[in-house]
Amino acid sequence: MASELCPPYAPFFGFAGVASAMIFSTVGAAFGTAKAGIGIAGLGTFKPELIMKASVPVVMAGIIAVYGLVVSVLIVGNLNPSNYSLAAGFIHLGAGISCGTTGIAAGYAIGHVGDSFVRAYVHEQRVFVAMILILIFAEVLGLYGLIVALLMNTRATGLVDCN
Amino acid sequence: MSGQAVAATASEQAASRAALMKLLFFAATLAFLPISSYFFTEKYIWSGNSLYAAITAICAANLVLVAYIILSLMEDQQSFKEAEERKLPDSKKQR
Repeated sequence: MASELCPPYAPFFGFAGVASAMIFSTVGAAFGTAKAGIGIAGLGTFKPELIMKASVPVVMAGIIAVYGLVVSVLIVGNLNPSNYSLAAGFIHLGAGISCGTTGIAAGYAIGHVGDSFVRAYVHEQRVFVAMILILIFAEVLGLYGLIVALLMNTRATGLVDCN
Repeated sequence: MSGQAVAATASEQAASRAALMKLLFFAATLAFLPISSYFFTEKYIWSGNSLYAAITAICAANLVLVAYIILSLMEDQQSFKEAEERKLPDSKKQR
């Protein structure tokens, strides 16, 4: 029973979950930062005093990467080379993928929304509140993936005793 | 006229340096605060429960974001007041 439920290749899936949480959420955050940065560069040539307010999409994209980092650190804390079941490995892989790919979705939305709103901010200053609102809606997409990852991770401990 | 122009650029430089310092401070805070709060609260506050520590780290990251938005809004109100104060003496001179 021990070797069937706890094969030696089980930690592979756990570490793949850690890596995918960090990699995919960073891809989303990088896209959001780059796309919003293009818009801020356009705004900076006309109204440099608005750059501080217009950098809010960049900060929000950074938080997407922080979500991936926290999930990675959380899963790594529960990894164990011995006494690690295959089910726990799959759960950790699912947690990492859910946090990472929702981070890609959130970063994609933040990038496009940030770019368009920052370009509009040059002409009309009252779009700032609308920009914050829509960016918050884009950010909670990454938050949902984080919540699912946290829920899955709590199920992974104490599943199967390998000894 | 040239003296006023020099003074204007010096204050602009000071303002841009202050804005840069603020941005650097928020970047460093966003990089260090969540992960350090995760490890700190896991060890000392939640006594090993990593789920609560992760939730604490996420709350810390979102707090940094809210602080940034509030600070940028306050700075905008301040610069608006300064622009109004600068307009008043100019209109008096034109008489």
